[in-house]
Amino acid sequence: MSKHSITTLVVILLFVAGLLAVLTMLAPEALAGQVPLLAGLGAVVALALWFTLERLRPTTSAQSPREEVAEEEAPTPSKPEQPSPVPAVQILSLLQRKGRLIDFLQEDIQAYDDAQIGAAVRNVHSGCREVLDEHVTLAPVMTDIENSKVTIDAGFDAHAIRLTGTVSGEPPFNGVLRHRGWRVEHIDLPQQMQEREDLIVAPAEVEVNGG
Amino acid sequence: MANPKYIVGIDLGTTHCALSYAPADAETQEEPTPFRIPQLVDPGEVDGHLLLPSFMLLPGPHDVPEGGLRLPWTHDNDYAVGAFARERGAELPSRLVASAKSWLCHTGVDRTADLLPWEGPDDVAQVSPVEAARRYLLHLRNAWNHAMAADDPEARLEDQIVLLTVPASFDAVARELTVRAAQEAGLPDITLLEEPQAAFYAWLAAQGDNWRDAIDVGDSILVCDVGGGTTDFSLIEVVEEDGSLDLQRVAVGEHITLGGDNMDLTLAYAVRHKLAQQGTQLDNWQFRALTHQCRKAKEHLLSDPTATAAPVVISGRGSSLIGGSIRTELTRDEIQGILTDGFFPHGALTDHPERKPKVGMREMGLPYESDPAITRHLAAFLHGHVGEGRTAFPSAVLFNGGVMKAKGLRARILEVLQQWSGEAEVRALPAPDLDTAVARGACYYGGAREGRGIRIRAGAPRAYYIAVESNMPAVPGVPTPLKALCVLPFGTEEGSALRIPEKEFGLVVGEDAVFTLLASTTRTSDDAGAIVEDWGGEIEEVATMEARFEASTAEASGTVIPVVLESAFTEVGTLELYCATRDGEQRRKLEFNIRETQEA
Repeated sequence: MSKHSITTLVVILLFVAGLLAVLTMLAPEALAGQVPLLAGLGAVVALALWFTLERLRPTTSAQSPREEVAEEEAPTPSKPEQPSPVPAVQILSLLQRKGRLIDFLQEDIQAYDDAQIGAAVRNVHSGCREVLDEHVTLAPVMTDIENSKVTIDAGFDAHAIRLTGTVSGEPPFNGVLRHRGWRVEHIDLPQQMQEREDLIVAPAEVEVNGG
Repeated sequence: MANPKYIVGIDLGTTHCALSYAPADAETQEEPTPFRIPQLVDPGEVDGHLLLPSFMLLPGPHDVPEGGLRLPWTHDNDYAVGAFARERGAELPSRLVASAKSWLCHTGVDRTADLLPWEGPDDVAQVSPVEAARRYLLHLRNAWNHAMAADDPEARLEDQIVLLTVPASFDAVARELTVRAAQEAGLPDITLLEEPQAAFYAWLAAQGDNWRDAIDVGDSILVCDVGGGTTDFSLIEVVEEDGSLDLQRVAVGEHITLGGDNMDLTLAYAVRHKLAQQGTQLDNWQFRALTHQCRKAKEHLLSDPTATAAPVVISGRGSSLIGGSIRTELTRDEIQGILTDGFFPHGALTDHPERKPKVGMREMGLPYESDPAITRHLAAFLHGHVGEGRTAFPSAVLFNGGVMKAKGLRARILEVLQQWSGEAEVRALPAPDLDTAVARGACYYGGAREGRGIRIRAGAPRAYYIAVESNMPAVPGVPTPLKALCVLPFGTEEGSALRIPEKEFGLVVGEDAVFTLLASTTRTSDDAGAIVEDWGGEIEEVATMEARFEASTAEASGTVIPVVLESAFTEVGTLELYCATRDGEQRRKLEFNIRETQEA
């Protein structure tokens, strides 16, 4: 997993957190009781976006050693080969099928009041959660309790642990755990029985009467 | 079966199938492992799930994209079973086969005739209930062989010890047809086990060696199994045998086609009615979503006693999710009134199920129960089996089936039983995971048959009779009263054969001899050869059976030869009947005549 992907995740997380903050500011009283719900949804949306971007991005961890060699030989590499978009479409398709996530994100929610959005979010949340439970095994990067004091020893993985605040000198660093982080331990997607060229996330539905 | 590696338990359920396995050569009983069944979850997408929904989709040419039905082990099947079949089939109801198992024990139709989907369109290649069961089993076999036997030919499912569960209430014909479906699916050697017993074995497996501390001599245990489509009761008695505890299955209930699906549907109708009063009409798609949401709301309310209401939201059908959504809720009062009091009402032990037509909770074609009150069916079952000189009133209950996951409903049944029991306490045995209990219990039973662990002494779940005519002088216009000759007593052990010399039949050579098979779940003390004259509704007709002696050189066609009946309750768990000549030299098996049906 490259530094780039963690950066992407962080940017996405910040973006979604910002979105949620704006949403909360716009309608503080109605969303007051739904903070966990919104936070959960935010996490799902962030992960979905991240998966998508990761899968669409040209480099993958499996290819990285070969590319490092390539970089040494040719400092300006030619345009890398585009990876298959199929797994990304598959994840979007699962989130849409079970949780209607794409419908939700694509809808202009300005027109609705918070009660309506809250009601709809319940189904989106439970459906997307089901997809995660079934196909993705997630674990926190650090298992300590958030807001507790932690010590980061020398040789820590800077991809997995990001230091903020005033960082100076050499480890060990003492600090407070603000976010436990997430790590994908295992992804188990349904097996595709045929090569799909199309990029259909959800088919159009046409109800035929007779004929 | 040269050298089986696994003991495999298969739960062929009305709404779901499950499969568990354990090593065959273990020294002691091991906790069975549930098998994740690969199945289609979307066109061209295969995933492993613990349950295989017992649904089959027979798509038309435009219903599924080309190649969408491919499975890892076959690329040219024209139907789908499992999760995708259920989801897609809900949108194409005329091409969906559901509840095939209930059809398998429906005496009103020819169960080998191609009649499913019931009243399906002309261009659907309909299948028989037996064929549907065959395809579910074939899917399980192929899935297993793909996942477990790809590199190990000895692990193929057909070479393992396979236990297949059936409802205790399955009659001789339904059992025979289940065995036939398994054989046609390439599983020639299977053994049947009653589902409530399997649930009890799952409990034994979970208890380990501690089960003797949890129950005691004199305990009578009610197994209350309420699944998606059927309800099944059995009584198991704890007795003392040579100084140690022994278990005996002493009673099984009638077949009750009533389960969780009826409850979800009834809730959904109630909510639809509520919405209609507010001016919101639902189309079929929305109604299906509503049924699904009602199930979730039900589970939430019944597992959390502090919740007063659960939201029910039907998302908009188009891509406008929020704009099109309909929001309502199910309240605790509604759940209480519709489910708890509707399906599990309080009542007296002497109550009987009502025989009045109910609407709104049935699918066309199948003879669903006219009385949805499961507690009244339970009262009738207990009334018929417990009392002075018979089995003791249950002192413990073991719950099984998806419906019984709901704490509130378990509590209600206990409450009702306690009320009937009076002073004596009725306790609930802790139930293991209810979705896979039957498959795991079947696995344990396989080990118990090999001598690892205790076996419930069960035997034949019904007494079987052959109808014989009375020797009374015929009165014109009055049908000759029938008598019933007991050919297989209740509880006859697996693997035993009986000869019934008491009654001789004259069999015409070269012609079909037709016998009427009768059965009773309540007459548990008739011996083989006993003749019952007045049974007051306790004995019911099951099917007719036929045998034929072809003319040989010794006997010309039309000769009457005297024969007696022989019966057997096989190791597999099926009933067999034979006509044999007095000297035993000639013997013919009686075959079920399933085409000749009685009107249910």
